[in-house]
Amino acid sequence: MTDPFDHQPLKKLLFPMWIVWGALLLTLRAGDPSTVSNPHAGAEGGDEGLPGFSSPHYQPVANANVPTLPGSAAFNPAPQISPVQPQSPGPLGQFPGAFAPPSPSQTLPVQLYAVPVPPSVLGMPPGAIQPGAPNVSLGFIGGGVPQLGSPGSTITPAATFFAMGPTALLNQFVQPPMVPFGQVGVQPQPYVSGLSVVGANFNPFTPTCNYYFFPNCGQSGGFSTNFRYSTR
Amino acid sequence: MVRRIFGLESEYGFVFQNKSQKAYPPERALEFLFQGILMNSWSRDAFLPNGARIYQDTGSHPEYSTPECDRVRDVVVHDKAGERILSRAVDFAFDHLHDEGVDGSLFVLKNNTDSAGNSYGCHENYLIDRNVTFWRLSRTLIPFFVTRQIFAGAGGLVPDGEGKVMFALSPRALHIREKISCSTTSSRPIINTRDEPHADPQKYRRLHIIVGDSNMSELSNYLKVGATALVLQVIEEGGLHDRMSLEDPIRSIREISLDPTLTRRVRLEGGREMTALEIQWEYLESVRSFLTREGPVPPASQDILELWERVLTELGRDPEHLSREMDWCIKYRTMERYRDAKGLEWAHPVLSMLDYQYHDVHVDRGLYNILVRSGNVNRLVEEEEVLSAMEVPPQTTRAKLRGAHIRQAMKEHRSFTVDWTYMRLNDPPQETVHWSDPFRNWENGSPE
Repeated sequence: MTDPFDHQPLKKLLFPMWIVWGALLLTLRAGDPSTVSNPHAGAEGGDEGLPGFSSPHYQPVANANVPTLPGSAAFNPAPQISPVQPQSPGPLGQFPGAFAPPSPSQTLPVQLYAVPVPPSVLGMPPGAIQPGAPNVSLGFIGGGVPQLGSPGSTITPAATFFAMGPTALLNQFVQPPMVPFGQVGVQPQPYVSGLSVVGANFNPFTPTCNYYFFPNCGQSGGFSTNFRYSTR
Repeated sequence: MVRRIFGLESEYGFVFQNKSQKAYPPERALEFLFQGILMNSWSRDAFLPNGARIYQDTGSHPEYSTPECDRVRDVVVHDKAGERILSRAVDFAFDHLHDEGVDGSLFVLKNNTDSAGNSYGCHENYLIDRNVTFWRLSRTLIPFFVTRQIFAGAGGLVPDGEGKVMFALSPRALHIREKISCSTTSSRPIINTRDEPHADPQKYRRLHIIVGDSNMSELSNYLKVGATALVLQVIEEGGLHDRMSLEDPIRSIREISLDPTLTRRVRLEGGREMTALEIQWEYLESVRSFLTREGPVPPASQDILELWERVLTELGRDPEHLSREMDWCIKYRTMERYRDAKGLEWAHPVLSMLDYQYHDVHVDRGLYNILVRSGNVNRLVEEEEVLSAMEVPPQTTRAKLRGAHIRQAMKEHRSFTVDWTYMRLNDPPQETVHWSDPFRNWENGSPE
């Protein structure tokens, strides 16, 4: 294969040019009295890392006003951010002016306009479709595990069901109605209303006396003897 | 008591019942709930002027985190303030649903289980000494947390798998799967290893406890956090060791939860068997003797010790004696009386609904709140304190600074970004204030 750079006529032409170029460089260096060695070099004037290499020297422009760069400041890894200094301390010493908001503009830069909502591709206005209440019959699912109700029974979701907890939002439309508390197998139940301490014949919330002393419970503290809970 | 930062995170159940024929996205109802708290904002994550945080947690339910408190009583007050804030938001959302022509109801429940079998938590946070070996701390604490439910459990009806229901001391305890884990949902542990101290991590770590129930009772809440704080203090000071490690803590926590008679014995590693009550007595005696030996017991610690002793004593005599004070006892007494009055079986759905209604935070509708109004429940704090805490942060921690800056920025309509440890005004030059020390309630110079 032919080497494109192995061109004898071109080499003969370039050789004298290299000689002229080298002579010109030597002349310029010898005629410049301000040439100094690299100030960062050692006593011999050589560079520590690259022997024979001289760093370039930048000649300042005559009469130019070159500002002096400040010395490097000590490195501060976490500059302290000071809170606002109050002139007229607030309840905690805040400077009220520091929180001064820009005055609200009373006018809008552009005129508001309404964008008409296009009809759906089927031509139905929004809200035209309303899903009906789910009609779910539940008994067994795969594996025969009863989920709601006894085997063979079906439960139609009540109009009012009670779902709660983190998944209530997700489950409300995609799962059968939630049972009223944290156990599977209990019928949906509306919120029990009318709980009161007055006006009921059977009042489960009437204050009762127990071990401690309460008003109207007598000097003994009204220890209750009708509590049937304790099994001990 | 050693000064410590406490905080409670309560995850609330959220229910939207759409009774109208009009389809209405539940997410829209949830938006109204947040607007009832964060006026003129569509944000669902914000800090409030009382220093607390409210946000929509994973699973589309609201979560309220109390501001940093350094007194147990303050935690109770601010946790109750969160209930009041949400109760007010429910009314706001209901009114706006009505304005939109939606016949619907909203319920916010401070409980820990839902009808789909999910559990959501009440997470306790304690700032602890970084130098304490976490392994030793955990081993010493786990028996305490397994048995603490006998006074801190919220109580509730749970299925027994045979078509019947049982009364559990702690419904949450039945959802615990691990002793220690970084998870909060898939393998729910007693102690979560989340370690975000929001303070100098060289000095402190965060103890994140997710085994507890959400408490409606102020006394249950007070003793839950207070007794834990005392146990932590004694462990940090080297006065308590893991001599009561349980052979199987996860099995034990379930067995204890399903035994309201408090007679179930659980096995320790050495083969010894003890009831939950006996284990709690051991902790109480160890803590009390250590604190007494170290010098005069501060009044705040003494108050908790006395309540702890009284509650354990009464639990040993008859839990009915605590039916005005501790959650599970209040709930059991109430449900039993209702059941007797109506002639119902325990498995009747109405009783299950009463179980839920106990945790409804609405001040007029919630069963716990009805019991309070009717004088059937003892309280720890005054209602005026709770109403104040809806607006005013604790004054002894950095929550004071956060609340004041938020209030000022909102007053002056400034855009800002705020977190537990800093606040930045978003407009240039974006002034930022940092509160890295949760104990420090002043910004410049010396404390007042």
